[in-house]
Amino acid sequence: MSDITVVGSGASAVHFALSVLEKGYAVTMLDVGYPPEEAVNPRDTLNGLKENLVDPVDYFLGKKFESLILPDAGKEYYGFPPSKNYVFRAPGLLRERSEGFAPLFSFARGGLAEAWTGGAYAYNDAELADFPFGYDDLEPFYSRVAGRIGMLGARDDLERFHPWHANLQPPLEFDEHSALLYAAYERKRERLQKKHSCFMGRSRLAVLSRDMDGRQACDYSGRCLWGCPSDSLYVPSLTLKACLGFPRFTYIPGMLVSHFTYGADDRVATVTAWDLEKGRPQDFPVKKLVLAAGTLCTARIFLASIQRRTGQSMELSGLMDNRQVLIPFINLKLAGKPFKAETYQYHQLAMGIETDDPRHFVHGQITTLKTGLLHPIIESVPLDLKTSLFLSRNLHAALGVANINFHDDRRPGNRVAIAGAPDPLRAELRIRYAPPPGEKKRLQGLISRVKAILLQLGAAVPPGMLHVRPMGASVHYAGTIPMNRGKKSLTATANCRSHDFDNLYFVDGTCFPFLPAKNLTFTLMANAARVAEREF
Amino acid sequence: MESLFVTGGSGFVGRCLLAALDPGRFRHVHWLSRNPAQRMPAPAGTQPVAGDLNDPESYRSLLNSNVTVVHLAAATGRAGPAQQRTANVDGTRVLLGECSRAEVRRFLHVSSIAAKFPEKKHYPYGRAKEEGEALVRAAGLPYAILRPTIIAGPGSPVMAGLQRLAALPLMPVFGGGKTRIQPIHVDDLVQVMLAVLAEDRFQGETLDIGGPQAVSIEDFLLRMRRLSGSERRRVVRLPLRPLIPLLAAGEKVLGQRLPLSASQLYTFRHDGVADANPLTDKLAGGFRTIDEMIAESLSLTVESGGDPRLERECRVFGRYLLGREMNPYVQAKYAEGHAALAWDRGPGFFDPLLVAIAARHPLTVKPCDAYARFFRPQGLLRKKLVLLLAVLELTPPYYRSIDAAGPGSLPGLFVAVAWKGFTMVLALVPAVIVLLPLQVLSRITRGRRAPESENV
Repeated sequence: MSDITVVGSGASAVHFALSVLEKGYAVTMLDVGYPPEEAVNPRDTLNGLKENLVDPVDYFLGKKFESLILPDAGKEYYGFPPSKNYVFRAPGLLRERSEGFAPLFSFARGGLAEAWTGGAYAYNDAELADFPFGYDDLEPFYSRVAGRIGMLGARDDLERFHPWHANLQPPLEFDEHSALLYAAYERKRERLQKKHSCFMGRSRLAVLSRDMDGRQACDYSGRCLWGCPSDSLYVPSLTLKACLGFPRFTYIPGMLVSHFTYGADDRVATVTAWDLEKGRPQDFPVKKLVLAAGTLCTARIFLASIQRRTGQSMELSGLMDNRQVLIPFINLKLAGKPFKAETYQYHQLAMGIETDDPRHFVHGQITTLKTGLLHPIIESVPLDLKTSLFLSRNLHAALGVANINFHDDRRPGNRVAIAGAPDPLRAELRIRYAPPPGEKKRLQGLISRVKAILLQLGAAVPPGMLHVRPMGASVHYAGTIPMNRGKKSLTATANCRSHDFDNLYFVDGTCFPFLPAKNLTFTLMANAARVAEREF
Repeated sequence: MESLFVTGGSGFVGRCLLAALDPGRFRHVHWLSRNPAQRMPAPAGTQPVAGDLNDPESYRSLLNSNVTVVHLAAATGRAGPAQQRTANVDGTRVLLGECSRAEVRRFLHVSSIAAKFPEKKHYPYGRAKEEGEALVRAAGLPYAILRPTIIAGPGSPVMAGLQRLAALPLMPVFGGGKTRIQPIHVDDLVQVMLAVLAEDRFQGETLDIGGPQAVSIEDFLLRMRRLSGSERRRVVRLPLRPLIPLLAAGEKVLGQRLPLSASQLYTFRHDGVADANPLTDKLAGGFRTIDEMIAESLSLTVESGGDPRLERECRVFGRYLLGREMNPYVQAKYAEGHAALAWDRGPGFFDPLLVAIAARHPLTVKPCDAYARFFRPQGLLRKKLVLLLAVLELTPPYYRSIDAAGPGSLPGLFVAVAWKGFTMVLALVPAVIVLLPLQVLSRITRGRRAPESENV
């Protein structure tokens, strides 16, 4: 029996595991762990792939054309690359029903962050106000994780939102469009800050600008969206590889954990997983159990375990997620200009908009579209397709999208429960979510502000193309068993130990008592390393 | 090398199994059918055998200790009780007797999820399937029993029946509509069968085989309705409890002449969902979703490569979009896209008509495209054009001209856009005059409301 059993292999799980392995513990990791396919033609640029692959349509759109975005697809501007299908592949056993929420699950080796865009931002003291610790407690772990994963950033106006920490490499070269936008911001900084409380700077990214640990610096191949072939964009499976180098680490893929069992002393005794290969359950005795399966799957395991033992149907409240709004824009200075495909593809610029409450700042990431598929944008233009194609040819270099993120609070009505079959594996996960009152008005106000800011930067927002993404789309889920300073059932200690079960820990988003507007992944990793250090 | 003997080889599942088999893996593949010559041509590497389950002389010589038997032949839900018994119980018994005598190597029995329904008083099919399973278990042969749920796919009788219900102006839902179903596509079922054969899973297991999603039957019918283009959700609920015995009594007098049988209503009575098993868990990642199955079932225009209509469309649309001829790769991918996506025609006659007009000449595409953008933005023509555009933006040399910038200056671009906007309006005016009345007529004649304009 290992000292610690970890469920899941996502960003939190692997950083927790690596941290305790470094301290000498024996760790077993149970995971479904669908693996990725090998990168094709790793030396080719994006256009090189189009030229050199025998069947480029098969690679970019998929065998079943699953990445084709048709006019009835609901205004998504990115088709999901077929090479990342494994990230959202799910075992056929799971059942889920949601109201007001469109959840995404991942059972991939490395979890959801295998398909992230690399935005890595530390929480500041205001955002950590509801957490039982402050930035000073977390900073060493932000720095440690930044050193592990390879991050870049610059000291600029965004430091007021994203505190500075160690181990940041210098930023990448700007592409032409990002450089233009940033130059416009620098010229109009005072006006934008005064009138719109808007601050801009470099995105903090989990990307290498210098070679590190056998990984190459970004070579600007333009393939970010399709799966970085040089490993310069960090994904958690890289840390899983590092864990596999420890002799006391046991990784068991093909295991879908359904529940744990516990005795009268309220200590977890075993964890039960469904062996997907053999089609039968398997019990693993545990000393300490660490759930890091992602907020929703962790909730499922926790609730199913209690229901199985007590027959009691419980629910967890306080589910959070970031509302996201996509605002496409056109930079008029680049209209009619050619574009360069060999650039970094995701956001290089970020913005922060202050509101009355420092916890409620609005976070934006600005992506200048270069090598994503164009047909979803072309078809959304309110013109015939040929005219839209003409426009896109001439505006390709000028296109961009601002992805605006909003904070979320724990509210009692937003719940996760299980229902149906008594068998924990067959029970249905039920999710209910309602946005906060007045959200529509708040969004409208902020969207108008972002449009005005973009105009100041020389970019116009075309009518009818804005997209308010459904809740669940950001995949920043958190808040169902929050850290709590007091001892209360269905909460956790400051070190993420359950108040209900003495040897049970939650190191994913489950324990977050508040969700700021920024991507939570970096904080998930840092907090997992903190728990490993403080509690083990 | 072993041989395969398939009963019901010309049936719905049998045809797909034979098409998917690698005949090179078997010494012989024989398939039994009452009249194979009339029912279908023999797939390559297989040999039809004319015969009947209850006539063992017709197939006895083909069974020996090196043969695996796949037993698919069955009378289905619409057959009367006597026919059910003759085919599903007596036929299975006779076949098993012959197999035992010949000491066949393995026996794969394809039963039905109906065999495990808790009550089958007026459901002779379910009773016969349960009895057939018991015979297999008692025969002393190495066996596996598969219990598929509703099987979807081209020619699926159950899907066709459900589609007829969903298409009625007032959609009947029997009982509460909460009964759950978990359809599986016939090709996915065949993959499971092939895995059973390849993995030699003949240790006496009984495996439920379902698709990747379970939904209530009402949700399923409403999805079918929505995907067929109808936005009406008018549902009429009919009581199930009195209807089943009433229909059963009617059948005793009138036989199978009633439009609906008591047996058919059992889909609304008991959950037809599969218990988990290792085989489907392993394979389920590639299984077709419910929406894909429905789309295929509704598709009136599942087109494939080599279709001259599609080739013409591709050429005309390509000249319209880029002013260039389309190479064979683009034409093949355009056809593949149609086969993979299995679009329906949309409500009424309008969508196919619009495509036909557009595909006549590059000059006729412009007005049809402009019209579709504003009045049928999610219709068939837009989907076809977007498919071609997506193929072109990934294919050399076409992607280079899509990426190439134009006038270079902002004023030049404004002038060009103004001119193109003007030509679009010029094309749109006559298109509206001609096409709008046709679209209205199409709606009226179908009695359905077309999907509302979105994304404009």
